[in-house]
Amino acid sequence: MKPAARWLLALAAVGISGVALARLEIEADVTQLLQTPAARALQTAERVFGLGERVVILVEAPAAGREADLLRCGRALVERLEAEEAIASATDGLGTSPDAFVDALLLPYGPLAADPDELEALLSPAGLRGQLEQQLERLSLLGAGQTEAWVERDPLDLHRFLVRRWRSLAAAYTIQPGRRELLDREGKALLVLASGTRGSQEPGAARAVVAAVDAARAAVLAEPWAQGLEVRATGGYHLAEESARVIQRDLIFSLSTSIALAALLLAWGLRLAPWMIGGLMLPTLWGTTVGAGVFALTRSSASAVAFGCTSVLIGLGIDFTIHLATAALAARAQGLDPQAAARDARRRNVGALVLATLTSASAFAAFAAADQGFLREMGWLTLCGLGTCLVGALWLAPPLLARMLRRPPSVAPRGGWLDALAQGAARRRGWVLSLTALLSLAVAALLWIRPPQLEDDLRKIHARNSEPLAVQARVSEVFGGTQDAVFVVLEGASEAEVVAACQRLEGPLASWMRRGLLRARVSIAALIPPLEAQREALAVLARHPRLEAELTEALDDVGFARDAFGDYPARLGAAAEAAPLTPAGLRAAGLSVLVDDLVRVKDGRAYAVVQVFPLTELWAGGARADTAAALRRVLTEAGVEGKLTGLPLVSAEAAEAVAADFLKICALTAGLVLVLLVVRFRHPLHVLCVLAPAALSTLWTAGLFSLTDERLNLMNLGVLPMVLALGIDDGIHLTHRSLAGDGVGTPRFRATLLGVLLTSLTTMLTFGSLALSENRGIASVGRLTLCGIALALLASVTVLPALLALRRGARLNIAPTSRDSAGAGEDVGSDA
Amino acid sequence: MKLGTVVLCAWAMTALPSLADEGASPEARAFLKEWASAMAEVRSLRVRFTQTKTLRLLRKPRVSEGLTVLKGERLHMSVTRDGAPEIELAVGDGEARLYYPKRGTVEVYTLDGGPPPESPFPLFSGDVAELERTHALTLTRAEGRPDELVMVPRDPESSTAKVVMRFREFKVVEVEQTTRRGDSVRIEVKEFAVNAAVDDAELELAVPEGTKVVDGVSGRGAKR
Repeated sequence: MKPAARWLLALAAVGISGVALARLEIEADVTQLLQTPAARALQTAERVFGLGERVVILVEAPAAGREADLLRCGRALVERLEAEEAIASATDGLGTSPDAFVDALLLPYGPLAADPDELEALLSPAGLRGQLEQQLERLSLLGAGQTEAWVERDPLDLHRFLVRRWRSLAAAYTIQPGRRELLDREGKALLVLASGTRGSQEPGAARAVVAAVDAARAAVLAEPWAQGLEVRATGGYHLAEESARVIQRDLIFSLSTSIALAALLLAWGLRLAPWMIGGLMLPTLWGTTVGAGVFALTRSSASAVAFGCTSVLIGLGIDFTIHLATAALAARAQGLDPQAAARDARRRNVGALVLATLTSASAFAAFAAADQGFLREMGWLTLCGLGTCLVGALWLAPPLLARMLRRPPSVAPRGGWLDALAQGAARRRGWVLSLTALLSLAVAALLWIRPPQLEDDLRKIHARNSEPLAVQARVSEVFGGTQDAVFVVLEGASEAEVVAACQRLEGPLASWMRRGLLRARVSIAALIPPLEAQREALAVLARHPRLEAELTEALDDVGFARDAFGDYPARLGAAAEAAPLTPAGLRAAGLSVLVDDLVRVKDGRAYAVVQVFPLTELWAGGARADTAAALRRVLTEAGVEGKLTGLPLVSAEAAEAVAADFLKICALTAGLVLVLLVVRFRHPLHVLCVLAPAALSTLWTAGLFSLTDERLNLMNLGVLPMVLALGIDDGIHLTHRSLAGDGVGTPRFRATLLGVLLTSLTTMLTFGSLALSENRGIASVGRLTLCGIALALLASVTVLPALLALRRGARLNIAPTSRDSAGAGEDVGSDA
Repeated sequence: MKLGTVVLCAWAMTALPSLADEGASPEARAFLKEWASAMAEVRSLRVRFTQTKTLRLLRKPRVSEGLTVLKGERLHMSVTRDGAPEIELAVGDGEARLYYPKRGTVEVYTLDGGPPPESPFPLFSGDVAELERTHALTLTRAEGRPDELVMVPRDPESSTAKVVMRFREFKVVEVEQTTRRGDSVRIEVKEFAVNAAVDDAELELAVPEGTKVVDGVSGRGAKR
């Protein structure tokens, strides 16, 4: 192919890739990545009730005494947020005040919320009189005010039965009793809640909601009365927006720094001018871009996490060019002309490169067996990129190399010290292998005692110093205990069915609360007593057919002015005729805001959610597992089919699911790689040689993780097979070179060693830059791969030469180690 | 039911902070400053009163007598009618407890850190600096007659319409409260003893065995 046509074709491929990437939607919400039962239940809770999709705004005053400003700030924020297109609703309180709740339900529903025995005692003639006399005694207290108003409003204190229920509902927040607003007990903090018009996982939704909140905050804080107040926000939208922003920034930083650093490293290692290195990067950049484009052509959306492996692609892709470059430089140093040196390098390395690509590809192909979508995406993206990077290296690198090597190099490539190290290890192979065996046994023993732990806290894959997480912690601190509820999602054919299920859960949950295991539960059952209990209360009322007259007489007898109580006696008398309280009844009483958060009909199905607030945080594995197990027991005992969810449970299930996927991927990768190696090398020792760097680096990395308490998580587990593949690549190149007749100490083995060094260092640099990421998940990927590759390199230049020296007939060519005598050893043209 | 009304009345006898710097008439301001100064060193208080409540709820006025004893942040008030115990209130340790001797019941209310409920006696709610802003004040001083301070809340939603307080030598001798509901209360102060000896036992709520103790808001409870 003519050079111009080659480059035009390459450019066209980049253009098509750019278009494909531009139309790809990026998902950043981690809960959307994990399709576990708890994650699906959470999605249902979000879809039906908007749970998890809320913005929680914390307004704080520097000191007490600014309650009026806090309340004003809350009202102003609500007003501004409701005017924003991205915001569906906003509130600064519980939807209704306890007074409004009592007013809406007092009669006829107050008596239906009472215990039947208590009601019977109250409604007897003696009970009525006793209650009214007690009210009179209360009126003897000093002064006049609200006591008189309450006695007039409800002389029988029926509101107490409703207040009990309200209290149990409001217990999820430690707020000032009697308030509708979510104001803390010290009067220094207020919560404002809002929900978005679109789900946080929808493109642009999180950014729009965060922008709306920021705008409202800025406008309100500009008011003179708001001076000194602090307004911060958290919730699903803010976490999603922060993750997307931080990951994008991390990736841009990682990509740009890794490219620059790799270029500088190559310039140093290959003794080439930096502009030449820029040219050498072209095949890799082309391969990465076109690979991502091929990936984008096959789907409409992808998770941001999957794109974390673009750094991996650059690290892997540049390896192909580096091996070609070191080989070409060695050939050029032997006197071949530039074109011949480039062709020689491609001819001698194509086998190793294809085999290395195949082993890496087998690792990523194994990702297809993962249950988690983002792992499959990561595997497919890297597979595409590997293929295109190989094409780029074999197709675009040789002509570039030929141009770069026109001037004969004044000195040989670096790597003399590596060669000396390898030769030393080969000479003292007994010592090296014994030490390796001892070290490995010690690490294995350590791992037996302290196996690496799985990180099951989803918060730890968010940004370091995450503002939404900090606000979440502050909200928990100010408003009491954990705000990370476990949701029990119930589904049924009708509202009556799901309400009855909630009521069956009440007994066990109440028992938990009495025993101090639960802080609160929020359930429709708190508002609606069981039908049976309501019927009993109605039966009690029916047994007092003269209730209106009896109450009026009692009021007269004790000295009250009956007219002051309006139609209270008549409404009490008619309460026996009331229909039992239902969600529809509550809505008709103007309490939709309360009810619709707990029970709702959607798409022809009825749903209820019970929010369970444990006493302790659920991010720790033990507490979470205990709580979940106990709740499942409650569901079973109550005969209720419900799904448990909530971010802590999603986190735990995600960790388990990813660990299971990881095991599956590793087993498949190992099998595929082994088959490939056996087919290629046939001899067990040769296969062992290839596998040694990867196997030892994995073992030692696991030991280091165990020692430093570094945890495996759903991000770094996903890249572990890549690390294995990279270690195997080192083994393939060195073993392949040795089997080709260029054993330890030969110029070509030395060139390959340099290639291994440079490929390892460039990969370590790309991953090293990931380790600096603000996002802790991405940073852990960097640390894991940095450690794994460094240890694979160590094994490749020490243990592998020692193993290769064990081969029958292996020939050590002990060459002078001067960096200027690259030509020493065997002839350039001697193929195996 | 809010207990704040009751409790804040009792807190009336605590020391007064300084006056607001603006708004009050010079005469009223000087009077209140002097009163605040006179009350600055109060450590304990014993107040005996007779209260007459004329409420639209009741067919006839309700007259009762009572004794309030205050020491530090603790308070005890007992009210009798026709010589028989009617109700007792004890405040301390973050709780207010109401004892109904005839019912054998104690109601317990937790005193949270929320905003103080509206007091019929705003001067006693502890923030005199705000008084001028929240109330229109009129002071009448005449030889041989008690000094009379009339306070009208500026907030139209206040349940209190007017409070008249009468003083002799800066001691409260009478309070008249009128509410917007049309109720009125007259409190005659029979004894106003500052820094009198108060035994801790006087501040305790002593109830007989078997008294039922219930939560004041929900009514839940059991016999003790």
